[in-house]
Amino acid sequence: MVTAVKITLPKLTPSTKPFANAVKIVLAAHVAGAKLNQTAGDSVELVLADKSLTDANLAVKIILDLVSFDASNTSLLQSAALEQEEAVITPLIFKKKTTEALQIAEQAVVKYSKVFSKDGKLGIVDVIYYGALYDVLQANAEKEKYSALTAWFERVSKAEAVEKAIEVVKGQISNKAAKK
Amino acid sequence: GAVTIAKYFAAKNQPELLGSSKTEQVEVEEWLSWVIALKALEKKQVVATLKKLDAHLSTRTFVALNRLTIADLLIFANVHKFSKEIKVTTMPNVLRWFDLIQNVAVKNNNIKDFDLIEINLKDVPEPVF
Repeated sequence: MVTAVKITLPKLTPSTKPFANAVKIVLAAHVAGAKLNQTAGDSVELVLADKSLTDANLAVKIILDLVSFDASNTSLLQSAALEQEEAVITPLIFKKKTTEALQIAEQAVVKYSKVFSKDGKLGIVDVIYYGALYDVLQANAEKEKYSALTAWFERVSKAEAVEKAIEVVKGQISNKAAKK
Repeated sequence: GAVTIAKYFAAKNQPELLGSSKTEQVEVEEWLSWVIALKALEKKQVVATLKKLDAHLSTRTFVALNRLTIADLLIFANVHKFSKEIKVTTMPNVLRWFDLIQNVAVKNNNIKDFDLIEINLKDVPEPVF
């Protein structure tokens, strides 16, 4: 894992893709135990030596040193779960098809249970799903319908890395959005 | 998903298709995210996105690195059904790349799942280096 993470963050509005991306990247930095070097910018970016990345999932992979795919069972399950989030769940959330997104996320937590946290220790799948679903699950009133997902979310929310990351991201919420 | 399955086969048989170093793997992964996003688009959006790919390919032979990667194969597989939209007048570089990949990956391996598209490369410019 990297020891220092340099990112740019703009002012953020909840329930937007930049907000979800910021949760993912900042949480990854805290899970890695890396020093977070944060500056103001126009978009959520991971700043590398030779370029900046706006792809949050790839940024998380870099921060957690999990870019390589080794065809192991864990690598395969992680990749399948992450592809499900990127290809299906997040697009549904931003099309406001929240119920469908939560149903598929519930199925993913069950199907790929081996790569979701059971003890509060977070991995790459937890980081990316938490960022993608944070806003939706915070507001979700039908917790019993998504029991596995809710149990996972409540467990992960108690992690110190999550508390610190959410504090950082909430600090970026624009005053205009906060007044809503 | 299809990208994970393709990565699995590549890792088992030709891991260099995924990139040999971390820097290379990051570049290939950027394009795999691009493929996942492309799959969610409607036809009109795909055409607009392919025009951006055309600009990228104006200085490159392959989409990532300087050789064939899984990114070329997956993009090819996903744009094959839109091949009629790839015209020499609007997307000459995509057309040149498309012909290269269909020869290297499909024709040379005698793969029957993709119809070979007849392409006249006479008017297609060489990549600029």
